[in-house]
Amino acid sequence: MDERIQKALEASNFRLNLLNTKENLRIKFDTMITVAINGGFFKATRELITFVQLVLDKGSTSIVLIDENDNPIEIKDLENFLEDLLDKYFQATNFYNSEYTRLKRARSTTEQFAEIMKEA
Amino acid sequence: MTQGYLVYAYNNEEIDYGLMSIVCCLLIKKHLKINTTALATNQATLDWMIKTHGEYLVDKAFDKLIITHNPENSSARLFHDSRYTSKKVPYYNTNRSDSFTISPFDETVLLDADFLVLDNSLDCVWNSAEDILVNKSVRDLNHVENLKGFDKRFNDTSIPLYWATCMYFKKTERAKYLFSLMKFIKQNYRYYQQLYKFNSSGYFRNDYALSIAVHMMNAQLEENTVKSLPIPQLMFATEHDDLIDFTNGTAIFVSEAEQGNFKLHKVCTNVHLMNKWSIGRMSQRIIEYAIN
Repeated sequence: MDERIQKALEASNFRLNLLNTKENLRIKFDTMITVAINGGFFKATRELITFVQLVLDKGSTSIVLIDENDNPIEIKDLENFLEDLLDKYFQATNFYNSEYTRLKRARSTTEQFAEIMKEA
Repeated sequence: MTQGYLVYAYNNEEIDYGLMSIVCCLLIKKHLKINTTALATNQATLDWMIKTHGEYLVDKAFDKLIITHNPENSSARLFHDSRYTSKKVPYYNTNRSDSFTISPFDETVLLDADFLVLDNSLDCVWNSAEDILVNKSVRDLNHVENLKGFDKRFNDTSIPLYWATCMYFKKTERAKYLFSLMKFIKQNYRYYQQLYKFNSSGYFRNDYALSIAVHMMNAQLEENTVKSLPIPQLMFATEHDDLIDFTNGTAIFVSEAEQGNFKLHKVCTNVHLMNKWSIGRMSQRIIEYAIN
């Protein structure tokens, strides 16, 4: 096989592996930001965090929120809920960042494999 | 209110479902806060587990043991171990529809034995506002959603597929109806195969019975009445994929979607493994991780 084609194929395979690993990280991030409360579950997204903070700033301490399964869930202790959301969000983003930074260093599938095995 | 996990395991001459259930339940105990486990099995599988893997591991993995008869309607199924090996062996794990009566818990998460619990998302299901939660879609390690035999529907004009691999239910009337329907569909499987026009895999599929039961319970409408688990998409490794390493709660897979096209996957979220032998090969490492 032409050396140029072989190199291009190696690079493309590396990109695919990298994309898969990044997507796995994103799924892990998604599981880490899931918060369960009163029979519903929510994702600790920036939007939800900001909205809850806004409601608190307006002076309300309880609220009904629509969860991931479209169920209305009453949250009585909004401040505590905000703490949970922030806690999950920071843990997940820190994890995502550290794993992503490691992954970025790899320049080939072999390096990527070595990096993955080292982490594991 | 009792809460826990129910796993089924019926060994055949080639596949050690007992060992897979030990691995599955030890990972539940490692990663989840509510981690009471119950195993539904037959006496022969239990005897094999104790003889081969030891009473200590069996006691450690399972809080409750439920001995049942061999499920009816067993049939031969072709299992692959990577792209290069396959074996046709009897498939006994067909009695999911009995889960409502078998489960000792008020709230149950029903899991396949070949499911690796690698994250804590299932902690979010308890005391749910819903009485049934299931996965509505799957994706493989390459994050492909529509795969041959694992599409989102039976066919282009048929009903959506639901996945019985991981399923949460409460002991409510609605859940009772769902399982009764699954049982009825199982008893009349060939009729429903004609009615819903799905290709026969040659063996009874719990996923198909669940999908039809959900459709019937929804008054034959496609409304969103059965909701998703916290992570709506079920990730799975196909029978062509191999689990090559397991360290510190992270599973490393090699997939080979096409011959010679190898890809590496690092997975630290829940994953369903179709290649049963690959769990067996890595079981010691997973068990060591889970019990330490």
